[in-house]
This record gives sequence, structure tokens and C-alpha cells, in this order.
Amino acid sequence: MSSTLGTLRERAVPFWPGLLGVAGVLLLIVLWTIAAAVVPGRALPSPAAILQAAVDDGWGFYWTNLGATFGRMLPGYLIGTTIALAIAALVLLVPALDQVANQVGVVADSLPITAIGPLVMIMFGGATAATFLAALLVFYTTLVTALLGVHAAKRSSLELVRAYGGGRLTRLRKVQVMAALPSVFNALKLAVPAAFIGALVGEYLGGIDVGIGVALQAAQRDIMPARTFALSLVVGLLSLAGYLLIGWIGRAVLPWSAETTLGARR
Amino acid sequence: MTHSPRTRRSRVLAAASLAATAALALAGCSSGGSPAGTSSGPADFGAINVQLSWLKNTEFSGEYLAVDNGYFTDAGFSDVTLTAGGSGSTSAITAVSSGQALIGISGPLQVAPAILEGAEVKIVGTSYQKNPFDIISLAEDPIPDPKAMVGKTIGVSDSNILIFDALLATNDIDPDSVNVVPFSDTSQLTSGQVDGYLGYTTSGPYALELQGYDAIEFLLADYGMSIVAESYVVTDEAIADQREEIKAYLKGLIQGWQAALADPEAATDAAVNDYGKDQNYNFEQQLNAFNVQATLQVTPDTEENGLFTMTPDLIQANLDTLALCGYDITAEQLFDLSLLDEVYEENPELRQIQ
Repeated sequence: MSSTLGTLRERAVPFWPGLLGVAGVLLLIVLWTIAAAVVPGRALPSPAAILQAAVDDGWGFYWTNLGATFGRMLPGYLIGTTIALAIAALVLLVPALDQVANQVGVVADSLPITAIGPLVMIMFGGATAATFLAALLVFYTTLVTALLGVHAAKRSSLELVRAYGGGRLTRLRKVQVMAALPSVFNALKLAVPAAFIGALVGEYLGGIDVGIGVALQAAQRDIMPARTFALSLVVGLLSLAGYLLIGWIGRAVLPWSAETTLGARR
Repeated sequence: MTHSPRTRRSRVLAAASLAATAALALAGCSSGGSPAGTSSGPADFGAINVQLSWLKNTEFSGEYLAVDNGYFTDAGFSDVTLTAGGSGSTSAITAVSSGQALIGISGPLQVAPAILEGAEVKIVGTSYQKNPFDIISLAEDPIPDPKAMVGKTIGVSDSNILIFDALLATNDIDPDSVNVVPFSDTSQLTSGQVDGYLGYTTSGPYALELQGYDAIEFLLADYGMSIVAESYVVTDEAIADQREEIKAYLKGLIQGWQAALADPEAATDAAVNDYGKDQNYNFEQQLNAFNVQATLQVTPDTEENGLFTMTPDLIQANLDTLALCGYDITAEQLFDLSLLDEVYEENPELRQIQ
């Protein structure tokens, strides 16, 4: 049911939000600059001061600390998403496990990260704590989102395949997996910021000399607000970039994903 | 008092980590420590791990120089790993109780409650004779002494509430007359949300100066809060089984700190350009922190008795302050300075701070 109106709207979509986005960012920078000048004291550095701090610290500083954080985050991301997707796949094969899988996810989410952190430090030590916490945070978001995908197959599609004589495997392959894949990519996308947060919290647990979490603590102790902001913004932008990248890959690999996720809601 | 919910949460956390400590201490017992120690030949203690109390900045310059100048090697260690702490770091008490580290850096305010809860650890020496806690305020609205806090808003982080309350009690200040808010960072002072905050004399005032603020401070230690800081903690078990090893470490450490205090520039260089090189520390700022820190370490007492020592008066003053904070503990429960005494008896030349 892709009407001409629908195609027009789809073409218009990439243009307007892009322009609005740029305008929004510019407006934010202007407002921020004004706020930095108005806020008493120098607690809120201006965007120019933050940029200056980033330039002064230089590429080496960011490269070293980001590299270390990324090296802890990535294994956590891979481990957390792999386990979560494996469980979701199991639920797809054995629907009876749905409740149990959900409960596992909720339990993982209920573990307060600050309470489990010290335990993880004792068991695994420095760098591993960041990876473990990244995996833990990734696990919940991935599992819950992927489980949504497990239920995404439309009853009518399943019945259609059945009516044409398709067996359990055909239904799984042609309908259920296809319907679940957009959710899987959504899950992988949402897991990027979660992995960053997990790794950063892990780095606050000590035992390591390098990493964004370490640099943030050092900058806070030595009262360097501009550097603290610059570090936070860089992590935020990288996290956003990872999120967008995986979203983009998802759309490229699964051309029907936009249709199923958006179309289902309309 | 707006801080109570956060305080409660931090207590729950503290309880949880204490439970973890106890569990791991038990687990650690069964794995058994190495019987290395009282051999008569040249000492060989192998590799050890040391749990620091913060990131690698000039707070631990003596440790760096002890490694770099080979004092630890001479003392019989094949390798000394210095493990950084951090905001949410494993406490030194946990690290030594679980066997992760032989020695850790902590303070009586953390060690005393842990011992009262059952941790089997002792303080065997202390780097700072005075604690570095201060109340920092801006010169335009100064808080030069405890009485000046009346009617003001003071930022105090959860972990420091006890010492702050003790400061009020010691100086006969009605707790209701001071508005205490949770402290997170110095921008609360510079943006006017607080009139002062409980910080560190080693880093606070100078960092504010660098930011263009005229800051003033008073030290809690000058108003009855006699608590030492940056103390060396080991387990009772290690004192019994690895006595010579701990003494050897203390000897190397004394030599390292002697070297650091004799050459603050080199001490700062080791922190800024080597051990903490990835953090782009400001050299002048770290040098200043080192020099302020030296005033906490080098006192008439340590000049006479040697670094890390504690006089009976200082020990008693610490116990009194701890009692004010609600921790009734004896000197025998908290301290064992006999190892340090033996180090100085065996190496009297080390007493003299260069």
C-alpha cells in the first residue's frame, strides 16, 4: 500500500529533519554561549572554551583515553549482545521460555550497578570491571528489545504461510525471523550507549590508569570544568555516532525494517 | 538537613561492600598465604601489589621514586605493582582483606569502622600527620574558621559527613545553624550554590586560584579534628606471617619519600610525565599539591622520629576524634606501629629527613 503520498513523504523525511537538526544544534550553541556568560562564576564553560580545552589537550590525550575505554567497552558490548540474542533466539524456538527470559532480563536490570561494582572489582579487578559492567548494561536492553522482535510476527502472515502448507520451519524462516530482525538491530543500536555507560562506570571503580572515566575523575579533582565538559561531549558524540551507524547498517541490510517499525505504528 | 536520604544509601552501600569484604576475607583464608618471610639469606619477597587511595598523581610520588630508584628492588621485591584507586574504587581494606594487595592506603576514618565491623587489619604507619580536609570558601565571602560557618551553606559529600559533624560538635556549633548540602563539585562554590565546601587543602585552593578565584581555607586539623590520613593498612595475618616483607616495603617507601621530599620537581615529574602521563596533569598544579602535601608529612615530630611515625599524643588525639565521630576503638585495635619502629631501629640513618 505504498501510495504516492507515502513515497513523497519518505523522500521529504531525510531533508527536513537534517536541516532542523543543524538549526537545533546551532541554536543550542548560541544559547549555551549566552548561558555561559550569564551563569555566575566559571562553572559553565562556553562552547568556545570547551573546544579550546579539547584542542589544548590534543589528539594524543583523547586517543589514549578513548582507546582504552573503547577496548573495555567493545568486548562488553559483544558479550552482552551475544548472550542476550542467544536467549532471544532460544525463546523464538521454544516460546514457553518467554517468561523465564523476561525474568532473567529484569533480574539483570535490577542489580544496582554501584553495589555490584565493588564485587566485580574483587572478582575480576581493574579493566575487566568496565567490560563486565558494559556487558551487564547491554544485556538487559538487548534482551528486552529482541524479545519484542520475537513477538513481532503478524498472526495473519503466519496463518497465510500455514494455509499454503508451510511447516513450522518455513514459518520461522519466512515470517518470524524476518519480523524479528528489525528489533534485533534496534537492540544492537540501543546497546551502544548502554555499553559506554557501563564501561565509564566501571572505570570509576579504579584499578586503572587510563580511560575516559579516569580522565574525568582527574579533571574533576583538579577543577578543570572545560576539560570535563569536553570529555563528556566527546563520549556522548561517539555514543551517538555508534547508535546512528548501527541504525544505518540496519536500514541498509533490512530494507523492510523502516516499513515494519514505522508501518506497524501507523 | 537535606543529605539524609543520600547518606542512607551510602550506608547501605558501605554495608554491602563490608559484607563482600568479610566474605572474601574468609575465601582468602582458605587459599593460604605464601610462607615467605623470615629467611636468613638475602631477602626475596617476589612481586607484590599495593592498593593506592586515588589516581596516580603526586599523592604517591614517594612510591614512584621507590620503584624508579630501585629501593623496593633493594628491599627484596622483584616487582611492586601500584594499583590506582578512584571515586568508586575498591577500598584498601577490601583489597588487603581479599588478598589482592599486601598493603593499601587508607585512613583511620575508614579503617576504624571496618575494624569495629570485624575486619582484621591494622594501620602500620601514616604518611599525612594531619588530614588534608579543609573548608574552602571564596575571599569575597570568607569562612576563615568554624564559627564563620554559622548561617552559611556548606557542601559536604556523604563520605565526609561524620568528620564534618564532629567538627561542629568539637567547636560547639549548633548543627541546625549550618545548612549542609550534598557536595559534588567545586562549581557549586563558584556558582554561589554553597558558601564553602569540605575539600582537600592539597588540591582545592590552588586549583581555584588557577581558575581565577581568590580562595581561602581553614584546616579541620587546626580545629580539633586530629585524624591522620594516607595511612598504610595491612591484615593482621600479614603482620604475623609476612612481617619482614612489610618492614622491607616500609623501608623502601621511606627511602622513596625521602627522595621525593628532597626533590619536589623530580617527584612531580614522575607523577605528571610517567605514572599519570595519560591524564595531562598541569605540572605547576601538581607541584603545588606536592608542596602542600609535604607540610602535612614533614612536622617537628616526623623530623625527629622519622616519616610515617606517630607519637603517642597523636595516636591519642586520633582516638579522641574517632570517638567524637562515634567510633570507640583502642590504639591496640587500630594501630601496630611496632614494624615501623623496628625498621628505624635497624636503619637509624633513615630517621633523618633529607
